[in-house]
Order: sequence, then C-alpha cells, then structure tokens
Amino acid sequence: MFWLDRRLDRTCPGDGKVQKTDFVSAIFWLIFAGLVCTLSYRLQLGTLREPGPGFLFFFCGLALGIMSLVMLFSSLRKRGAWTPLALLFKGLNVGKMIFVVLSLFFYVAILEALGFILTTFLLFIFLLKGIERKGWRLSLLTSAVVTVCCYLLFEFWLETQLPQGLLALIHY
Amino acid sequence: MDVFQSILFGLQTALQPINLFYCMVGTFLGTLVGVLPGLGPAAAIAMLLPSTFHAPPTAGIIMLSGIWYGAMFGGSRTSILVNVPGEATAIMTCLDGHPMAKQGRAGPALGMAAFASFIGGTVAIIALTFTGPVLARVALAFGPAEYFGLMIMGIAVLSFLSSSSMLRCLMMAAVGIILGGVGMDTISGNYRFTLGFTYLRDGVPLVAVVMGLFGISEVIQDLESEIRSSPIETKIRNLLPTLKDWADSAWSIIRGTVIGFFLGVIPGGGPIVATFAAYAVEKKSSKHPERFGHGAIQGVAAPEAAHNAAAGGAFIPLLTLGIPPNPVMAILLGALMIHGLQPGPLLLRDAPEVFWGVIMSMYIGNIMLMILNLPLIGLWVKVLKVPYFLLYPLIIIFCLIGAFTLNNKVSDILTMLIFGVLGYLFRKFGYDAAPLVLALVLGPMLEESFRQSLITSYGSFMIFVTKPIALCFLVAAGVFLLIPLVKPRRKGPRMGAKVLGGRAQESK
Repeated sequence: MFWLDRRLDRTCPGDGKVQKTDFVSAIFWLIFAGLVCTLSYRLQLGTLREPGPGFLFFFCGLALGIMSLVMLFSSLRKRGAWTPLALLFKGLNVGKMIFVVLSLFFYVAILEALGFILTTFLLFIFLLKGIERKGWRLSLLTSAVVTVCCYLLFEFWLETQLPQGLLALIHY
Repeated sequence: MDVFQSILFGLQTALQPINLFYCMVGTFLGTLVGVLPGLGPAAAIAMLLPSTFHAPPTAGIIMLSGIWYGAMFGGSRTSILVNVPGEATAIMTCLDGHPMAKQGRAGPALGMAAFASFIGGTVAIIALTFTGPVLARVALAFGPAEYFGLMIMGIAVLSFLSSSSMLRCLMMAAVGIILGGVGMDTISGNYRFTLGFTYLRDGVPLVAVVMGLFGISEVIQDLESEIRSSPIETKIRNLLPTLKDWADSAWSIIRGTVIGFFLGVIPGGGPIVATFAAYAVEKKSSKHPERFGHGAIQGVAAPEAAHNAAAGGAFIPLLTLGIPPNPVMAILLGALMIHGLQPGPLLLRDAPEVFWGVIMSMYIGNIMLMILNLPLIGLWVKVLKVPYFLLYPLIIIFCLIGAFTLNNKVSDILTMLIFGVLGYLFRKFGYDAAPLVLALVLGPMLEESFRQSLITSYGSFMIFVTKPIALCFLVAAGVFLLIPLVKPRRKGPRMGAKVLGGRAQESK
C-alpha cells in the first residue's frame, strides 16, 4: 500500500511539511468519507440491475476513505520528519487574511439589513483604511466612487436587484 | 446545411451589431483579466455570467467565450514585462519573454506572443469549424456507457496531468462527484445530502463554488505577502518581430498549435498543460536548447500558440458532446444551460445560430484581440501599475455581487465564501481544485450515465466492455491512472501549481 502512495505522490515525497499536512487532511477526508458512506447507505444502494440514489456515492465515499487511509499510513510512516503545521503560515500576513475573511462574512450577515450601498461602502472603508492603512481621504473617496459605480452598473445597466435594506425603508 | 453554408450563417449571426458588441466587451474584459494577476478567466466568467442574463443567449455566450480566449492573449503581457504570469497559461512565457524584455526586445516578444496566439487560435477555430459538425454526428451514436467512459477518462487525464499528486487529485475528484450529488436525484426524486438545509435542495451552486475556489481563494492567497513587482521601464518599440524572428519561430508555432489543439480537445487536458508540453517539445527539438530560458523567441512562440489553440480546441467537446474538458468550459456549460440551451450533439440541430455564431465570433474575436494587444499595449502597461490594494477590494466586490445576482440569494455569497476559505486551505495543503470542479460538473452526468448503463444491461458491467468506444475510453483512463505506478515522475519544477483560474506564483 505504501509503494502505491509513493508512486502516486509525485510532488514532494520525503518532505516533512507535506507529511504533517497529509496526516491532518487524511483524517479530515476519512471522517468526510465515513459520513458520505453512511448517508449514501441510508439513501438505499439498490441493486446492480437498478442502482439506487446512494449507489455511486457510497462507492465514491469508500474510494475516498481508502485513499485517505493510504495517505494517513504513509504520513504516519514519515512521522519522524514532521514539521509543525504552523510553519505553513510562518511569515505570512495571517492577521490580514483572517480580518479580510471575517469582514466578508460580516458583509453577508448585514447585507440584506443595511442594503448594498451602505454595506459595500463600509466594507471598502474597512479594507482600505482598516486593513491597508490608507488615508481617510483616499479611503472615503475611493469607497464612495466604487460603491456608486457598482450600484449604477449592476442596478441600472444590468438590471440586477441588489438588496435595498435601509433604502427601502426610506422609499417607503 | 453544408459546412460552407453554415459558416456563412454563422458569420451572419456573429456580425450582428449586438453580437459584435458583446464580442468586443468579452475580448476586452478577457485581456484585462489576463493582464491583471489575481483574477483568472474561471472566476471572471463566473462573476460576469449573471450580467448575460438579460442578453440574448448567443450574445451572452459570445461574450463569455471572448473572456476565455482573451485571457490567453492578455496573460502574456505581464509575463514579458513583469515576469509575473497574468494567467497560469502564461507561466512558460516568463522563461524567455522576460529575458527578451531585459535585453531590450520587449516589443518583438510582445509582438510574437500576440501573433503566435492569433495563429494558434485561428487554426484551432478552423479545425473546430470542420471537425465540430463531424464529431457532433458521431456523438449521436454515443450512449450512456460511452459518455460514462469519456467522463472517467477526462477525470483520469486531469489527475494525471495536474501538478498536484495523483492521489490528491483523485480524492478531489471523488469529493467533486459527491458534491455533484447534493440535491434532488433526477431518477428517484429523493433529496440527497441536503442535511436538512432547504438551500441545498437545488444542489451546490457551481458558479458560486468556482468563484470561491478560484476568485476568493486567490485573493486570500495574495494577501499572504505584499506583492511588489513593477513593469520594466523601457520604451516598447518595434512590436513587429523581424524576419529572422519569424524564421526561427515558424515551426515552433506550428508544433505549439498542434500540441495545444489536441490537449485542448481531450477532457482533462487544457491550455496550461499545453503550454508546458509545447515548451518542453520545443526545447527538446531545438538545436540550441541552451538558449531556452535566456531569451529564445521560440520559448515565447510555442507556448503562446499552444494555449490559444487549446482554448479553441476546448470548445469541441463542450459544443459537440456537452462534456466540458476543463473547469472554465464547465462554467460555460452552466451558462449555456442557464440560457436554456443543451450543449451536445443536439445543439447543432436545435440552436445552429448559437453553435455557428459562437464559432464565427471567435474568428472576429481573434482579430479584435490582435488590435487590443498590439496598438493598445501602452494601455495595458498602465493597467499593470494599478496598485494591488485597490485591485483586490474590487475583485472581492465583483465576486460578492456576482454571487448574489445568480439567484438573488445571500446564501450563494455564503457558499462562495466558504469555498473561498476551503480553496485557500486546499492550496496550502497541496490539493488542486480543478479536479473537484470538473467532477462537480461531470458528477451528475456521470451518475446518470452509470445508472442508465447498468439498467440497460440488467446490472451487468460487461456493457462497458462490449461497447468498443466505452472500452477505449476506460482503457485510456486506466493507462493514465497506471502510468505513475509503473513510472514515477522525476522530481522537478512544479507544473503550474495554480489552476486555470488563478495566477501561478509558485511555479518556478
């Protein structure tokens, strides 16, 4: 089984960093595969003459599980050469990435309530001023211009219906 | 209708003012997407797909197609001037294009890249014009077993050719097939894998997934470090290559075109692989291989011809078989279906104006790209100077709006963001998202073909052996899967770590 993994893993055999990521991802995919197999079984596998809705996915899950086990055992064999997972993110702007991602999820949360214009304007301000540390004038001006242009482009030219949010209340 | 009548019909369609306008918009946006690192054609097409909902179907598909092959043209600008490939397909152009620019030959490099792209693209379109209808007729004889075999081969080829390990690719493909099963089973009417969420009853939205995996994840990755690269400060003159340049590059363009076309047609192949293969062949067949990497014009001409030929060739399986050979074509497949069209052998019969209109518009689009890429090179150089801190918020906004406008649902944005984070983690952990996307699209068709095959054969797997075309495809798939077991790949530079939609910074 291990020669199989060595042959199939063409990128970096023997690299400790990869082995630790392989271990973590193998565990994840193993759990995922187990879940898929369970749910597929409940959907009914049917018979070969009349495959049920869960048929193909059960075997896909099984294949995924087997591949995960191959990866898991292969990474365990090279346990001695593991390096901490944190090295993957060493020297990177992790804080910046996290804040940007969180701001996008927050954008989704308030979009329908506040509406496209206000939410987009606030997002842009946050990205330019909060994340990129640009000046207030540049941030406000750019945010305003981009928000208005996007609104005009999508709402009027492309006739998409962006969330109105507070604007709808004002119209009402 | 014979081929020449069809060509005239297609030209008549393509030359309609509205179609010309959308072609121009598509090629312009495609070049822009190609020039700007951080956004690839997959994410761009996904983002702009909703903007085509109000356009006639032919015009919408023409625009989206223009973005695809326009990005091929545009990607080489940054490769040559900044040594940063605008697209993954322009990686190989960096190797010789940038040294040429440093030697004061930026003009001929840019010019040769444009001409080679034009020639490769045009030849591919001519081949598409004449082989497309033939293949469509052959495809009418395809049954479920043949389609199943073809799709399995496509996944196997993509896994083989991907830079990521085959094990990881196959795992991604399995995940893609599973995700493709979310929603309603068309045969039994049961809902699958919805976990109680009403939102998932319609399945996982492909466009949102693609925008997340290729758009948002790319932006997150770009935030890892500060990007500091500026174009070479040189006056770009003499965009026309010299006669010697043409003499040196002629065979390179021909070889690149042929390699690119065939790799574009095969499901699982694609422009990225085509550029690497063309460059490798060129270097191997050159009398002076030591010049490659130091400004050999063949090193620019071959990959440029290859990727545009592959871009054109990729339309063949999409339009004639209804099988997308790569993730970008998968989004175009989605676009065709959203516009009420069923790609495949019946497209030629049921919507000939779309089939021929799109093909003929590609000739026109190629000419437009020559105009955009040569005389307007100064404009693209200015665009390259847009600071990234302005660019990525714009990309984010377009992704957010694009995801929302798919179905006017905030949950689509959420899906995109979740897959954006997952896509980033996939990259860090060494997984290629392309097999997942291809399998996500092919999954439902794969399952349907598989189940229909078994129902037809009363549960016997021999159907995949007794049908010769299906057997050929499955044997080919088996060969691609077994090659790494027999002959492991040598350690070497990664072949375009990023997928079609993104920039390939890691590739050396």
